[in-house]
Amino acid sequence: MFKGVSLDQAPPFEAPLLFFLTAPLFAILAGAALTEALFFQQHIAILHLFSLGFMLNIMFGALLQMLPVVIGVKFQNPKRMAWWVYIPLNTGIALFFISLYFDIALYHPAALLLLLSIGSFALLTLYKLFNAPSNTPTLWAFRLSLISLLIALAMGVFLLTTLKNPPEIFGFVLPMHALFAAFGWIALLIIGVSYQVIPMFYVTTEIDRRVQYMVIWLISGALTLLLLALITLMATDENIVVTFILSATFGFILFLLLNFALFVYAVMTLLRLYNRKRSIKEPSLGFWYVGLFAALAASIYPAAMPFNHFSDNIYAVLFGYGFAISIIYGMLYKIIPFLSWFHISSRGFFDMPNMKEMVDERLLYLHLGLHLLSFALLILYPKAAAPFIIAENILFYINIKKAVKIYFEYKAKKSPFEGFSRQ
Amino acid sequence: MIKDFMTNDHRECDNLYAPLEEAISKEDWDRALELYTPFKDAMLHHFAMEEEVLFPKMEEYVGGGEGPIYVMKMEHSQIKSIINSLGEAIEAKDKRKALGYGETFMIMTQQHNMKEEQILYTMAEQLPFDKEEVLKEMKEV
Repeated sequence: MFKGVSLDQAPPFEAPLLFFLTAPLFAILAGAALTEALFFQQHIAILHLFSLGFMLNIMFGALLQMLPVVIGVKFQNPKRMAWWVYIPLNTGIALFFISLYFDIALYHPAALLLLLSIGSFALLTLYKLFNAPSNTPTLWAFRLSLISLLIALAMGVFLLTTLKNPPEIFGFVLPMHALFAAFGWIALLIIGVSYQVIPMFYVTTEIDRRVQYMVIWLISGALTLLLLALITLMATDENIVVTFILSATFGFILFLLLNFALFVYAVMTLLRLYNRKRSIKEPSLGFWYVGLFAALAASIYPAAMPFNHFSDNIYAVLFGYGFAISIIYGMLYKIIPFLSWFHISSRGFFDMPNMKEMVDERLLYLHLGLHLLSFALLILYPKAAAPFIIAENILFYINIKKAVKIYFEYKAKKSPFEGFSRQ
Repeated sequence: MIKDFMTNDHRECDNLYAPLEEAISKEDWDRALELYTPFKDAMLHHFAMEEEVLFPKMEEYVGGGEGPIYVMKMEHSQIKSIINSLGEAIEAKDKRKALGYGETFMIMTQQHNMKEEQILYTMAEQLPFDKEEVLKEMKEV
């Protein structure tokens, strides 16, 4: 009945840490690349430094960490598995960036590496998620997020490998790839996480389960319709102009629907945070607020803008940098000190610093300030944001340095349990 | 039945912690000391319900050893140690330390609760013992 279910201690810290420490490097690279970027293709390359380089690395690390904890699934040998995914993934991201940014024909090896690393990790995780012992909105959000990731991946590989000789359908697949990645993969993942952690970490009431499911199914439903439309389009041989107008109208309606779901989620979560029982103010909460207000702004933006004034770039910044990345920083500042403390404590030590002693809260607030500044500048004048993006990610390393250092210091010490512990 | 009851008890404990943390952050030490005792008692009572009734019952079916129940008990002792450090920091009126242990307590406990709510209680519900009887015994602890 519970075969494969384990409540074992969390996987070794090194496994998620590898991904957590790599992600900001890509954000720093993105900042540097932003100063020189001129063409559309270069902007797409930078966008993927954030989505694949930053977000996907964090997601992989977080899933390695969270799945045993939240769902009770266990990876065999997590450290080895981490490296097996890590190397092809990050080589793939680097090749992807080089090929797009410098226009060097490395598309095929990049596509292959990304397909193998993301595809195998997502499939394995999905398999484990479908075998989980209980069903919750969070679990459904995770499953649908990973399915969307696989769909976005398949579309991405198609786009990348046909970039130099695009077939007619290229122009339809491109926005769909973006929507599957943004709403399907990223939004569902964050929504799933927040359903679980907001009530627990901040002591709030839960969002009504029916609303939780509604948001998830609305997003998945709209994306499924989009996918069906794309398949129909591929199967029929209509006049391309008529098809384009029809699909643009249909696509825009579904885009509004996706944003409606995001709006409901953002408003409901903001209200819960505002009415939280745990009144203490701390930097992570600030990152959550920024993220949720950015989600709210993104969700309103398409409906508020006249059609011809809608800017893809502004939307991408609101959604990616404002919503997703803010929340990720907020979570990392809790996860990293906690895991450091937890692993040391599990080996029987009592004298290590507590979570708050592992970080300097004032510097965390400084990061929040820098993040807001780079976020605002990315909307107003993107090139000016570059130094602040670089600065905030260097500051991120400074901020987590102590927690990581303490972990390794204690790891080198002999456990007080030694002799009678299973460690 | 057991899952709902124990999940609610987790939330009750959270609700006792929240005002305690607020008192610490305002450096209202008398109130913090006053709130600390019922909070600690509720936590220890929750652990006792599990360790004295629920876990031994479950172990009859799933075995003891180093399995999930062993891990839950280990985490209980980790949490108890943080609660004690929190108490010492409150007595010493050390705001920074108390908030630090408070935060550590909170995240440690929440990830522990997640494991119990998602996995362990679900497991308990599916095991073939008399849930009402066990629930009754737990309430008597």
